[in-house]
Amino acid sequence: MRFNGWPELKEAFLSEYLQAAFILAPMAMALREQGTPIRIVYLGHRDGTTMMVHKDSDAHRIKDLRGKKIAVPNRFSNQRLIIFRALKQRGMGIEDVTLLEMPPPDMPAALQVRAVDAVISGEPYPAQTEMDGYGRILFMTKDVWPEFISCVLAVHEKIIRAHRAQVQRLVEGIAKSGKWLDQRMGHRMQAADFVGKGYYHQHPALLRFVLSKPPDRVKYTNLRVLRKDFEEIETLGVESGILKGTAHFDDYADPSFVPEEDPIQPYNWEYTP
Amino acid sequence: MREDEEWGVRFAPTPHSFALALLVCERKVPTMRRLVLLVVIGWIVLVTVLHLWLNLHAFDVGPRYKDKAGLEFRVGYLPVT
Repeated sequence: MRFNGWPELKEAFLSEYLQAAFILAPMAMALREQGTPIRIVYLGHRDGTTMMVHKDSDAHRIKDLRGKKIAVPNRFSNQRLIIFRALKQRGMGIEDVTLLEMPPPDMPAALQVRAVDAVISGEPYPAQTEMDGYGRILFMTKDVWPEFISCVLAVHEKIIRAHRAQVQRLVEGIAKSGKWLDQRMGHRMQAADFVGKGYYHQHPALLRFVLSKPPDRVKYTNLRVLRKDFEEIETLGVESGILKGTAHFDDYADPSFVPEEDPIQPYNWEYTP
Repeated sequence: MREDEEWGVRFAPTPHSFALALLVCERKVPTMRRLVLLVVIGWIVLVTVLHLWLNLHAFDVGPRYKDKAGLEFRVGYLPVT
């Protein structure tokens, strides 16, 4: 089920209307801290986040963001954490910028009219500003935080207990789909067509751009839930004040669904429109 | 027969003092009040139907995935990578 904003998806997930959700990693961790019995079982993708500024902006480096307004998807997002991390590495603090929470679909328009100075979000919204000619890449997360995690697959614990086989099928399906996507560029182009038309309701040309320019702009393999990745997010989350540090990897993650990479074979399928 | 001008109520007492009085009531509701009432009811119906359709998918047609145990597995997502 498609949502347009993180708060709405979170509420539907909390109410158990959704049995599972692709949700922001820090948001899932925060929900666990607050007592919601969910587990992160897999990742959605790696990388695939870009910070864009207006093409006429005077910001050409991360340091130039001082005093600027930046739109982030949610305070419980890794996009916020990467800003915190990047600023800290350059001797700056989060207080040196102004962060505004904004649904990703609203970000291109906000950047175009310069209501904000920069936007950072999962694709394809940053790419949309680039394709439309008014956005300029400040950085891609793959270049400042390699193997960046944005969205994770979270499932209610009682669904895991009662329907483990279905959850296992879901995880293996994502793994096989990811292998299929990353098998060759032709598959990515096919995915741009059927996902754009049937699921995202976005122009396939935009998704083709995201999935190919550059080819590693977003990756769909190596989606295992790894302790070191999440402990890094935990540390940054506590340091930046969005996490309390009361839930740890063994509380919010369940890597038991993660198949070994080698035996996973991609789907043997070709899309025909 | 007594008529109450404000309510338009007419009382038609029986000729017998101990008998039950027959009440013929004809309430005259001002036109504006009736209009407002109709608009409010119509608005509630409209919002309810929209909520059933958009949020609860009560009128969806087409296959919905259910596993053998009858669990409808709903997975939420935003259209972002």
